[in-house]
Amino acid sequence: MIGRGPHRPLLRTALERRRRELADLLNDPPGAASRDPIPGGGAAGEDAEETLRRLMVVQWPAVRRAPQDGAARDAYLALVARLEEAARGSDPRFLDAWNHAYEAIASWPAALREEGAARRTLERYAALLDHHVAALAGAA
Amino acid sequence: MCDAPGPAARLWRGLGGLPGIDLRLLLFGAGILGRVRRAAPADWRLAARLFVARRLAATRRGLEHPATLAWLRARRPEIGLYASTALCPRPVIDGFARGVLSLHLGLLPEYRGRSAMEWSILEGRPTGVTVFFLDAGIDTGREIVLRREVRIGPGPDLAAAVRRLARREAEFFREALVRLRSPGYRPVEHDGRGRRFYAMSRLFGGVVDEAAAISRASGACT
Repeated sequence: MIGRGPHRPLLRTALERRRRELADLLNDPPGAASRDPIPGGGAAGEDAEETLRRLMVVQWPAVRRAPQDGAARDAYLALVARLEEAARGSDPRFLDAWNHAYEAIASWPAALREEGAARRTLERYAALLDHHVAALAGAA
Repeated sequence: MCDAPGPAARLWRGLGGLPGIDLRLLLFGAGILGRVRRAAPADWRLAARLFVARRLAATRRGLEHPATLAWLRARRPEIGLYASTALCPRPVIDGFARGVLSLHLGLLPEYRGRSAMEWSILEGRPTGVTVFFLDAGIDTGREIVLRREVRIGPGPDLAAAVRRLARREAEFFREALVRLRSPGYRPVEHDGRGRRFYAMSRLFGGVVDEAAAISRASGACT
């Protein structure tokens, strides 16, 4: 579970707030997101640490610089998807990669947000938030 | 080696009188002359005085430029102090007999990379600073000279508190240099533990701001 001791209530509140924002964006109530992993996401044997490095050092800056670049968006979202399994764990860096992805996608024009990969990323992010909120609630 | 006059002035004031240290300052980078002109008057005057006294040099070139490297090597420096957020080029590190010390706002080896202070707070771990000898990696230098827990002080927000801590670089470098020259010096070895961190999202950044504010209000931080 992410978070330790005194910060867990703060984290839970922040994740719940983010989940409500996301629900508005997706028109999808909290708790309703599918729990099925993205096909191909978090493949066995994948080095999540290296994926995170490439994501945050190369692809995230690229997509921030040029969100209109479709190839950069696709590469970015593909890497984010590969961190789904890691993002369910206790290391908050991997969930934060998804937090960044949401913050990036939410800033895109509606037409880009509605594209398949972006939409799927938001749906998977909703499931991740539900997972962590439930874990934090269980620990309270 | 500084890419702004503020750190250079603080280093001179904090280390200039340290016995046995022959301190020379190098200001570098494409915009360095503009940054000197925009510096606080006291820092600008100090930089001018040190320049005339040949204690400070300035170049608009990068550190890895052959002319800058040649200038460095001609002085055969023992230890470099690096006060910049840009990566220090490997040839520069190699130009110093003992190596180049850098200040990391976070505790190594646990918290490497960006926003280490914020990640420590998010994970409910101690905050602090580390002075270590650079290598080509991101906060992976094997020799840690100083590792000190520092609580984030009071202030309007966490970012301001972290900036205030960063401006204490001369104090931490001084402590590291004194430690290095003490007879019983034993480095803390960077054993490869820890994780590399990256820029924090707005979501987690907000949690950290709230957590730090609560800590300050409750007196948990000094």
